Amino acid sequence: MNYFKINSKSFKHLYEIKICRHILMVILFANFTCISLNANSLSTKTKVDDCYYSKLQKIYLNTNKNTYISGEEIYINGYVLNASNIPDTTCKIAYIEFVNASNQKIYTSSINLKNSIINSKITLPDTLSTGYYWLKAFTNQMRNFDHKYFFSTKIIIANQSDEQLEKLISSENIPNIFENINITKTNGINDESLKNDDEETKMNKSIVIQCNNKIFKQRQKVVIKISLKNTILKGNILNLSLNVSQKKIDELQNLTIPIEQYLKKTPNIISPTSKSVLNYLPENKFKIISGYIYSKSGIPIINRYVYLSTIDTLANLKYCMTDLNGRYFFELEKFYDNKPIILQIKDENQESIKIEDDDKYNGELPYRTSYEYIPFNIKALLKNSQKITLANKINKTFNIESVNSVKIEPYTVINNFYGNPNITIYPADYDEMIDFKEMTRNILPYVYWNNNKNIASVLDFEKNKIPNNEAFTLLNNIPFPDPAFISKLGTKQIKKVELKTNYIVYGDLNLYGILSLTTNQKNIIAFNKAYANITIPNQVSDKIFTQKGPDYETNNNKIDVSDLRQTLYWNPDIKLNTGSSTIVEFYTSDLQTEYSAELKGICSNGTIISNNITISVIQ
Amino acid sequence: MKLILLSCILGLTVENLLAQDSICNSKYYPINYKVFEPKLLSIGVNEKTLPLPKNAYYSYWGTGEIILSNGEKLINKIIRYDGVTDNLLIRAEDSNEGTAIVKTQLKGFDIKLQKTNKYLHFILLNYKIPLSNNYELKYFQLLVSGNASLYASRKIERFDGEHSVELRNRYTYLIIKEDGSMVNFENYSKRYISNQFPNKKRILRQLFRKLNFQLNSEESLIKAIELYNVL
Repeated sequence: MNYFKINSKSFKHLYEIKICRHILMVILFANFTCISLNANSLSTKTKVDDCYYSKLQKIYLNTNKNTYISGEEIYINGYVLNASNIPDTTCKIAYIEFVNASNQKIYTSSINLKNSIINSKITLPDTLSTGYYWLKAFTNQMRNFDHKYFFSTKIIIANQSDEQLEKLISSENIPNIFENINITKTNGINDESLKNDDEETKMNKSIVIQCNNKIFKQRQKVVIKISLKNTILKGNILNLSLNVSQKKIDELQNLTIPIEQYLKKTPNIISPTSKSVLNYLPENKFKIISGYIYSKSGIPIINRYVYLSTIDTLANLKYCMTDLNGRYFFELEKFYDNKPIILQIKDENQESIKIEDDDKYNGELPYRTSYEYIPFNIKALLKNSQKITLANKINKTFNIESVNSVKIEPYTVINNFYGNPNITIYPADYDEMIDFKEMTRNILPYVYWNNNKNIASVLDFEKNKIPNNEAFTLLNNIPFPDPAFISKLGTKQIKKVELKTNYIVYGDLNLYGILSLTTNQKNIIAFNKAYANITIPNQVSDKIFTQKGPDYETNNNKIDVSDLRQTLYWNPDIKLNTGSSTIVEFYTSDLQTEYSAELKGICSNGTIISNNITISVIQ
Repeated sequence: MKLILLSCILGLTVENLLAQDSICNSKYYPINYKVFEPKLLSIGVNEKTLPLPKNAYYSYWGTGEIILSNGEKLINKIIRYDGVTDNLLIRAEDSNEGTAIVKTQLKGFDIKLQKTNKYLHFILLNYKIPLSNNYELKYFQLLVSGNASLYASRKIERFDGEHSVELRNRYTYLIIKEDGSMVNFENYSKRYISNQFPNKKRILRQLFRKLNFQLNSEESLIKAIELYNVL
């Protein structure tokens, strides 16, 4: 009732205040929403851009030497860095490519990374001709940008039997490998790692490399102590590699660009190109393979199942549905390493579908090749190396074992994709039967073979009836085999028959029983003509662990065999914390020369560290 | 003032919601990341032979999360826990038939209760069958997690009569202690519970006495284990 006591003026005033307050509220709310919408659209774009679109990953490799003889092993160590020049631990796969001066690929492989560290070895083919070669490295994310940002280093290889080394004719200077690269403008984000010289020296002084002696005799024990002096790293872990190899000659020092220079010259952020979609995804978990499916007329085939399998003792199957651009994507676990990948897609009209894989190694070399210009004085070094490699090969036949630490990595147990079979039959246990039809009549009562359609159906135990649908058939664990081929297989050819007598659902594939046949002859594939298919190689480089040669204190019996190792010690994985130290021990070889112990590393905060000492081996 | 605060909160909520939505649907993402989702293997069950019990524990289909053995999560799946066969059934949105997920692929699952919208957490444990040396993979509902964890098995037993089939709930409980040892029991007993923890047996008994604690239901059992965990 008090309400009525308020006079009309004050009521009007109150009413106005109330309206004003409401208007204010509406404005505030609208404002907030607009701000948040704008912020959101901006932040989203920036987030996505930041993650994938414009920030360039970088990769850097160290090799144990820069001159090799064909047939030798190249030890590789390196790092993948993100756009802030700190180790990119999210990246799990890197790719290396070994090309000759004519840009022909000699070797292509992927490397599984651990904490952004590359640790691998390549065995050079025996047949390589003498000349310059390029070792290229990149990640899948880097393929979205110009290939000139891929890391590359030059190495010289001499053929083992090339005695004249005729291609090595000139003493011209080796061209700088980055001479052709136009460096685009960098945005300069987190230039911390691009420290000035004083700071670099300070950092390098913080890591101390000490040796028990400077001059050693042949087969003498070398003890190297590596210690991290001060607290400059502030609790960050330092990943180091130690390489004790024959000293590189001065003329070849500029074959590889130093990491500091590489980082300075490679941009961190690249402005987006005309490409509106990022094609190559960062591989943060497993290797990704992708490609296109299109008809003969070039129209992308959408919403169709693509099946992926590989020949193995276990039945493995992956599938994916093509997107609106006719693209497929698969993630490949370690199980698929070094196994050829088979892709299949239903092609009822036969040969009207084409599968095109995104070739990861299709990048062009943006560098000018100059294989003939190899300094004359390197000839002597290479000729000497040829003799050493030959001697080492002979040693291998005498079975000189180096004492190398071998770590066995845990391997994930993988089962058949359909689980355990209900029934396993070995046809060799029975009388001979000439074809599969006869086998189904006599020893496979749960399999019904339809003669007209040449298809097999498997009894469903749960429902106790044979389904109308075809069983999912595998031949040597590859799906969709040629039914005509299967029908001809008898007990002589088939080693094992496995049956899954249930209706199973795998992802969203409905499978009415499984019929899996393994043949006596390994790796037989008979592709069904109704399915288009391609096979993709999937080579993965071997990991290399610590190489330290023979232990002459315990292996005295092998004293008579010559040991001409040019790399005395190689450890790509030394981890140090602030204030900690480590000791490495190895033996010198019979090769009397100067060796350089190079310590290179990168800290988890992006600080680059390197240091080296020289030791000599005399008689 | 309250309204101003309310508008601020609303504004921020809208921002967050839209931010999530547009990141997922951004044109910058070239693929739908669902293509990399692990594929589950499940086996057809003849649901007609299974009694679909009205009194069974969680006898309805609901949405839930499946936790795979590698730690990955599959979300928004239509699942049902079948207490009769101790299986997790899954079905596609467009299908009426459920299939039993092969246990070796899983770590557990979370299922949403229809009434309360709360999630129940089930974990797959390698359970030693009493009076036997054999083990079996069995689903247990996680009731208490801590130094001592309490789990419950939601088994439904089927009794075939002459003319009818009767279903009875048979809940068994499992305590996993700090040292990893397991004890299983069916009846509620204060003495039994306190005997399981010899180092805190006396304190537990005193507390039960002081609090006049009655251990006669699942809720009180949960309280008893929680009490032990805070000691």
